[in-house]
Amino acid sequence: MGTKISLFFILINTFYSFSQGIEEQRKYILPEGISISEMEMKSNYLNGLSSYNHSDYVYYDLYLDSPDFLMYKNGFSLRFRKRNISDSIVAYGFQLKSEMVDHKDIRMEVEETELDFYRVKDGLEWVRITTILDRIFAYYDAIKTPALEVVFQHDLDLIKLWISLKIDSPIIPFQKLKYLDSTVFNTLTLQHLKPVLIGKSLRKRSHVFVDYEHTTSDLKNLPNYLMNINSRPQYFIDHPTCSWTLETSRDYSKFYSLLGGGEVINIYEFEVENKYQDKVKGTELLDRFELELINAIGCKIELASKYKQSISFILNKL
Amino acid sequence: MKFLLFLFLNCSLLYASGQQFNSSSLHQGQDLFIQQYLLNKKINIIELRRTTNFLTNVNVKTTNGIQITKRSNAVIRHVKHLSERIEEVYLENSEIDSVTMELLVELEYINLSFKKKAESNQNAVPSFKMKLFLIKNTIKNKRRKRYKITAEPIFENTASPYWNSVNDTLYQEFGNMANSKKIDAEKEMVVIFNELTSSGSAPKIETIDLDLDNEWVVKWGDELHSDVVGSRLFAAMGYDVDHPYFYGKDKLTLVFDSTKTIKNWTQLRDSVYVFCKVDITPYFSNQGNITEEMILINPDLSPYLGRLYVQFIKCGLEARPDRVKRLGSFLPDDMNNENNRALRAALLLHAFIGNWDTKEENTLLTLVHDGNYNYKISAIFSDLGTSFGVKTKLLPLDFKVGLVNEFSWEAAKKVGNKVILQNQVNVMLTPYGKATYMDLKWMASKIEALDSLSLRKCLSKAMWPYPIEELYFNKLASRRASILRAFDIEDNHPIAFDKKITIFENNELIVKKGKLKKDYKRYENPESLFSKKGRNRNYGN
Repeated sequence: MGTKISLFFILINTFYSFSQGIEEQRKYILPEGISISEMEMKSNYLNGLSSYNHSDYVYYDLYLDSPDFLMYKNGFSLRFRKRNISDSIVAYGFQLKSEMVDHKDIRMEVEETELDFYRVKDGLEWVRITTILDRIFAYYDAIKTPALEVVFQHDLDLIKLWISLKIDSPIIPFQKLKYLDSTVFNTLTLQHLKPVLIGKSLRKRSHVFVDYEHTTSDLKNLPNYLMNINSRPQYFIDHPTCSWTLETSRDYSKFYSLLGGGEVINIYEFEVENKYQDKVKGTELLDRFELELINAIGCKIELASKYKQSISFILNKL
Repeated sequence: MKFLLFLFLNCSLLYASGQQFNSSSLHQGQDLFIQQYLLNKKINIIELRRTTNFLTNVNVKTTNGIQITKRSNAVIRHVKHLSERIEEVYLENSEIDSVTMELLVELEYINLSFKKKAESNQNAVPSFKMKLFLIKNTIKNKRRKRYKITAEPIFENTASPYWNSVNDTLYQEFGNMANSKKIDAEKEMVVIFNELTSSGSAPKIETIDLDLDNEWVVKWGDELHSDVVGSRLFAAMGYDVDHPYFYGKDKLTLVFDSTKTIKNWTQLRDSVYVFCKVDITPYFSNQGNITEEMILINPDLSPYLGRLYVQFIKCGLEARPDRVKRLGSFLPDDMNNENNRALRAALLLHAFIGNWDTKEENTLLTLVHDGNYNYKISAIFSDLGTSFGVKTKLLPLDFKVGLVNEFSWEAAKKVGNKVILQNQVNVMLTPYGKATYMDLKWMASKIEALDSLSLRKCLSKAMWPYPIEELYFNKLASRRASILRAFDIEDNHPIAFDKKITIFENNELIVKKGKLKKDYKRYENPESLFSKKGRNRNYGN
């Protein structure tokens, strides 16, 4: 239990340190028919960059938008996310992300990382937002009976209520939206946000790093930045001669529309994120890795977020 | 208006009865400073959110045209906790209670202190004009410290973020505080260079320890010894302090990080000179590369194999623990702190150690993490090193501290029906200006509890050379006795002293009749314990 708690705090610290800023992240569509083991084998060592699969995550997402798709039309996605990490850690976040226009664009990403102390009043009782999210995501996984459907709808209404009460509170995604464009995003327009999409992603996370004992000659002199012990992944504590450069995620996601049309969207994609402390050098390493993904594995570049892909699909069907 | 009166009276009654507020209550008499957050006895949500958004929104970079300092994630998180608890009171449409008042006062403390920090950062390096003002002010303040003797019973302070009673052995209090902040200063330390710092006028740099978790400030100059003992004596009297430590020859190793702009000793020395015009060359002891042998002794050094390091003749190391989040000043001139008796009484403690630099920038409000994601506010007396014998000079503008010959044998005296404090201060903060005889007498009663063992233990941590430490011990004992005499306090722990102390070392006369006679071991003490030339004259080097 003690370990779980400390891991949780380390994770919170890590998430918090990355909670307000930008994220250099690129997305790829995997070649059709490639198996998990084949992908792992092929990406294990690419031009001096080694990979290590460290965790399996399960993510649940609940996306919010207005009836006229304010977020989608302005190139943003706003979601509650619940992370289940290797069956031992659970964390919640409320995230705002920008869409990419060019595949080398840097995505803006801000996150309210701790939702545990936010509550909303349900009748006479104060209920934690995380409790409501747990019920919503449990419904996603459960056999959907009409009785559960009523609870589910009620919980979605509570989320909507919480948003309407908290738009002007010190909550990062709302602060950021109003800072970016207060004429488009303001108390009036954001009042209408409601849950529009729910989904679950199975994610395999890997560190991409330079192992100084097994790399190409040009990467042997790459500075090994040392991170604060609380932010340093366990792998790099155990392997101090390896330098963390990138992080990859292989995602399988399934989304359901909450707009009444019953659409189901399946997404299978590969993401790479710059984690190197010298961000300029990190971009070079990202380019280097990308070249191998495209040429050696046959990946194709994807720009749209999962949210954009899903809403585009739903709107096309309308 | 009726409500304000009601609130004020009500809260005063509650304090008097002691039923509603805990003993560490922040807001005794400070309720009137949070009226902007109230509307018809309920929360004014617009004003509340104006403040909470200001404190947490990193997109807001200025306040009244002044650049805001970087907000720490921990402070943002704590403000959100406070905010959410207060917002629930608003959503319940409840009238505010004592608990909510406490939260609002805490929020306002953070708000004002954060703004003060932005203001003081604008003047991080004191200008010539400011230095001149401080020295002129010293002369002006000299006339103000006369206190008419009154015959009231000594009050007892309750615990607050500004002061706590010390029940343990006095000299252990500094260590107890350090433990609670998870400060682990070992006898020998290795730190990694991080960056130069432009705050203040003494040469210093920011470093980080080997776990890359806790920061430390490395300092050189004339405050290395005095800061250590000044902080320990303040801690012994119940005040929270910064945590400075003295490191002698080669006891601290500074490792250079090849990814930083400053990569070696020469660059460090030259950059420090550019920043503060002090040449730290005389502090240099040796340099080299981290070797396998060093890693065998200290395995945490393994990522630094081959990197350059430097060691010093002497230096100071001040903790910046991750558990302590530093805001701005502790607001001596705001939030009704002029009536804070623990603060007013601190003037006598400044007089006891002969501290000169009492300006607001040397006070600090902190949020201390208790290890379980709870934070408590604590007020810190910072930079207590401009003490133990200070010589100021107008032409050329300069000052020097830690001059034992300038440290008088008496700190207070009774003349007729008045007590006169003999210490010079450069700024008389509002609480100090409001201090009364009874405030100071309370502090005198605390100083009385300082016995020979506690005084010796606090002093020994400064690592002054033996003859200097002996002279200081005798002078502090004498100053303590002068305070007790002036305030008519019976001394239950008398400490013997000799104003005519004479010390020989290797048949050489070092101290004669209570006076240091020579520039003692100048090579080992590059700042000089004798020369009156301060930082603005490169310590005479």
